[in-house]
Amino acid sequence: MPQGKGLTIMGRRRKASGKKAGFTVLEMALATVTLMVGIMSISAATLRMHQLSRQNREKALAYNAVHGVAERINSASAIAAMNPETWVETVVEAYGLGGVVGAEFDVLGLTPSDGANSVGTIQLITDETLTDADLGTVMGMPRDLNGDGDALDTDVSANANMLPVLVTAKWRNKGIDSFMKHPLYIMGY
Amino acid sequence: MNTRKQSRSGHTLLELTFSMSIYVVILLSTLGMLERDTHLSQSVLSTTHVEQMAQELIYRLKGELANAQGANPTAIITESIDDHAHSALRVDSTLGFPNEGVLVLDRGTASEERIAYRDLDDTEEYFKTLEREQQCTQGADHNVGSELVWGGLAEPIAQQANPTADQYDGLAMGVLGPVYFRGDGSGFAYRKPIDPTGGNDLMQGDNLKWGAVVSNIPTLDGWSALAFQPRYTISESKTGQDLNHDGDKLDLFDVGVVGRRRWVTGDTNWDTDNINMGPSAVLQEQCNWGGDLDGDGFDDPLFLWDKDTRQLQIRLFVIGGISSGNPLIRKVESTIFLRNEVEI
Repeated sequence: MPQGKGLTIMGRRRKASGKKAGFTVLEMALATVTLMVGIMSISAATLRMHQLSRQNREKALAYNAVHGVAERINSASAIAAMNPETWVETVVEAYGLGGVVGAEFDVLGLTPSDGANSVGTIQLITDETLTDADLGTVMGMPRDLNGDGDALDTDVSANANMLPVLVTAKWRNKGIDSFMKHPLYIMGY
Repeated sequence: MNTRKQSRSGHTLLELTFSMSIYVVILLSTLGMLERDTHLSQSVLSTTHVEQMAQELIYRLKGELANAQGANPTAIITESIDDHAHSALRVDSTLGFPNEGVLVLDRGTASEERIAYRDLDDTEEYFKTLEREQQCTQGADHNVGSELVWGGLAEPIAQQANPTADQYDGLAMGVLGPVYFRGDGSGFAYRKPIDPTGGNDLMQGDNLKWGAVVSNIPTLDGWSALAFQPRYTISESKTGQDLNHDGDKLDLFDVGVVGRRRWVTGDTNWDTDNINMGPSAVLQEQCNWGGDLDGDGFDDPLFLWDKDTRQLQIRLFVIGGISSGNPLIRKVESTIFLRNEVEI
């Protein structure tokens, strides 16, 4: 019975409100515009999320590539260190400019920045006078790299027993440059 | 007067039709955008999820293997077996082989067979509880003197220039170019520095003490291995996608986990530890573990271990979005340099 009563009341209300109960075109338009604004905001947020996801993916690719290269340099250094006298020479011949492996590497899925041949670069630091500011990273430089008691030699490629190495990835996507730098030391003993 | 004005303020049929048309167009556009947003959100979320899974797995593997010493488990058959059922296979040594796994025998020949084993014995000479004809291979005779490898292992072969078919199992893209390798590359056996007294003294003279923590007890006889363990199968025909980009939709794939197994060699009384290193989302082609998964023409072993350079290449293909009917595969790869010398 309460249900029946309720229905009766609703019916009366509807009847009583008559023509005023409907929506005007203006109300509908306003509601639609509001809905559109809301959905466009969601759409913008989704696109931003998509963009962030892509950036995240690129960073993961760069991270894995840079760390993989660093591990390979460590491996080459460890093998070369079996003969400490030729260690620097061997490492530079492998990973220096024009070396067997080379000082550049590509990363599948990343596009090099404008003007660059490849995404990744390997920099073997043979100047012990360079500062952290010069290198753009914290490596405790300048530092005595050849064990002669000072940090004044500008070229230790003949007698270094440790070398700072910078592995860098720089890539571009939709006009935005991003980079990742991985500093490490390799030892010749 | 008011009544007349009210009646004049109504809309004509033309105005109403025009308004309704605009309204319908806007509404349909809105619904279209909503649907597109939903698809995009689902795609972004599942992509992000898969990428995170893959990256987390790489991090875990790097953490696990940072100070490990890799092993290359191979053995020589010392008692021939024919193609009939046998309960055990005798070899010169099972040292370094996980206490459960798959062996590859007579690789690259007409007699190539993969045999699963479920146990080792305490003499370290027998693989026990054999299951023949694994991974789409046929039973065959295997004679004394022939070499077998643990299927998990993938290692570059010595002769990289024009090797014969029986010398290698696959061709992967390495750092400096293509690399011929043997094995499936679905696992990696290793040991880690331990102190068997439970303390922090890892050294014995100038050498490290090697082993594993098994059942929470550090032991010098302990070994560890990472290995792919299939959990379920998916087919290209059901997903409607050419997942490995080989030009057809006929392939079947095993989806599974990379598990870490720890066991004690030479003593079957110990329990075996087995944990998953990540979610059940790692992809391998059925009957072709370590095969090409991205259509680049090169095989993709999960683990490619070069004992000479002590570099372990890890290449993972992780699949997600299966439940939503939109499978998505992501590849992550990295290299780990194992600082410690190889033992076997």
